[in-house]
Amino acid sequence: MNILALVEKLSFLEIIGRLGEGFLSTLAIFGLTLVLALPLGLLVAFGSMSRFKPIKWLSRTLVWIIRGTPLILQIIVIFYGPGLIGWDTSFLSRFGAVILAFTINYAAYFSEIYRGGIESMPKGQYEAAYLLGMNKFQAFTKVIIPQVYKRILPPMGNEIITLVKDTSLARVIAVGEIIMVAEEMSNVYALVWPLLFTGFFYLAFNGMLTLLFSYLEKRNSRWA
Amino acid sequence: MKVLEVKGVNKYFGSNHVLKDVSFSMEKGEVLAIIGSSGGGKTTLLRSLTFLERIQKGTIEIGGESIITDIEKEKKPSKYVWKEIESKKSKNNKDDNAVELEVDLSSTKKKTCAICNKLNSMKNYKIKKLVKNEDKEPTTITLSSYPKDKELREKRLKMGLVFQEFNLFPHKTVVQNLMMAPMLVKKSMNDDSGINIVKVAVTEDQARQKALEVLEQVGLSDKADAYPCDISGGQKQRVAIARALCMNPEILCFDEPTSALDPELTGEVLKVISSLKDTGVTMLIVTHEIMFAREIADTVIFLDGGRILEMGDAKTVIDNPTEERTKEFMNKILKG
Repeated sequence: MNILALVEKLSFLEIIGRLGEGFLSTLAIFGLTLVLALPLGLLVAFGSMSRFKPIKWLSRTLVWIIRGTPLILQIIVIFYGPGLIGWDTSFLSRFGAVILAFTINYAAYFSEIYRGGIESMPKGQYEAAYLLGMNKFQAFTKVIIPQVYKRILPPMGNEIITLVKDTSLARVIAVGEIIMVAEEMSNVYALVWPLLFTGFFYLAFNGMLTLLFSYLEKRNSRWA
Repeated sequence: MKVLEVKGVNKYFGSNHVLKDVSFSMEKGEVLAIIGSSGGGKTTLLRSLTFLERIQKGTIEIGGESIITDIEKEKKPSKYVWKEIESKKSKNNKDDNAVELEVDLSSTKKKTCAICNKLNSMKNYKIKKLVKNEDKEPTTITLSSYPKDKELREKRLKMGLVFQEFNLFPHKTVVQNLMMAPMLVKKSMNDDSGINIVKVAVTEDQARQKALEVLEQVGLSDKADAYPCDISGGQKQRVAIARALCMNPEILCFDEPTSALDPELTGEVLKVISSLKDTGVTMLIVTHEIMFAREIADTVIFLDGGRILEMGDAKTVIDNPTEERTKEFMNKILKG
């Protein structure tokens, strides 16, 4: 008797439904990380550029550690680490741990992109703004930021597309993103196509992001 | 009426004394040119007058209002001073290490401290001792005192600056470049009765009107909606001049306004500056264009090595300089 006959057969729609759940989980990791890491990265970037040495040191060390170790390890450490040294971490769900790890990781990368952009601005732009009477905040928000925005769009697009693919690392602590769901199906029901389907999903999603970024870049291409 | 009075300005970059007791004054409507060789402190002087650099000593008055003043500060004598007790030259490295060790030991045991400085690739040692300062008389030093940042920002509005590198805002069109600061910055102005001072930023309509007016003045009305990347260097510099004029500065400063331009394009910029003179704008121009300075300036200052070597009527200074150094400079420039 074929052992597969014992396993309940899944209809096509059921498979799509389960993949859809995994897809939502992937989207949630992507969206939440982006919303949290974009502003946090700016904070870290200011820290890295601070004239106050301890803050600068702290930010740069953080960036060094985060960029210097694999994200997969960071997820594991954040989820299991506190429990190992006896802290109560029941408040931190698996999903919460993933978001925390992703946010810290991506904030570090974003901060370096921001820092590079801000530090590439010539001093003359600040001086021109100050001479016209602007204060530091006005000079930064009205003169510096719009130019930095244009400069960092391409590397940001790169990093954000990487984030889409990195969401698949969430499975290391059993958060059911789309690849984990598909792989389960291939293990249990001997179905390979859902796994291939995830590839198309990533392609389509990143294709849309690519279009979005080329639109954003084009919007600012009028000036150089 | 004096619009600018500079007295005894001294500026240091570290131990480098860049401006040495520079004093001069400007009348309303006067055009003053500062000439001199590179590294003579011309740009630093201009940057100090626009508060981009801080001076260490001296006073600056703009429009009859004292902005930077000299204050006397009492400096307490330090409790301890370093005193050299031994200086040693040796070629034997082993022996030197022994000296270092001995000194280190003594420093931990006694309250007085001794160090040795390694100089000249580990071959010369100086041993210094920290001793009580016998000289207890407080000394006074003179320092320039600056107002707080916010106040300084307001005072700075009396000065306009046109940079060598234009520094237009590339993400804004020409007219937006001109309108930006007037719409953002609150400026003190007399209200209708002419007595009370109110702080206002102008509205968008007012800013646009003024911007278009000034653009017409520099002959760039047709470029109002162009971006800085679309116009030539000479046009950029004219926009920069217009942008500074939009804030109605009491003194318009130029930092080598034609140095970044092709010789072909300098003419149009110089023409605009000349036309401003006719409308009575007070101008302070740092320039390499000696013949232009001779033509447009009322007064010329020859700055060399951070000192004013010669100052006076433009034509006199340039045609018949008295100082040897000035003569040499003029000869070089006019022949080259």
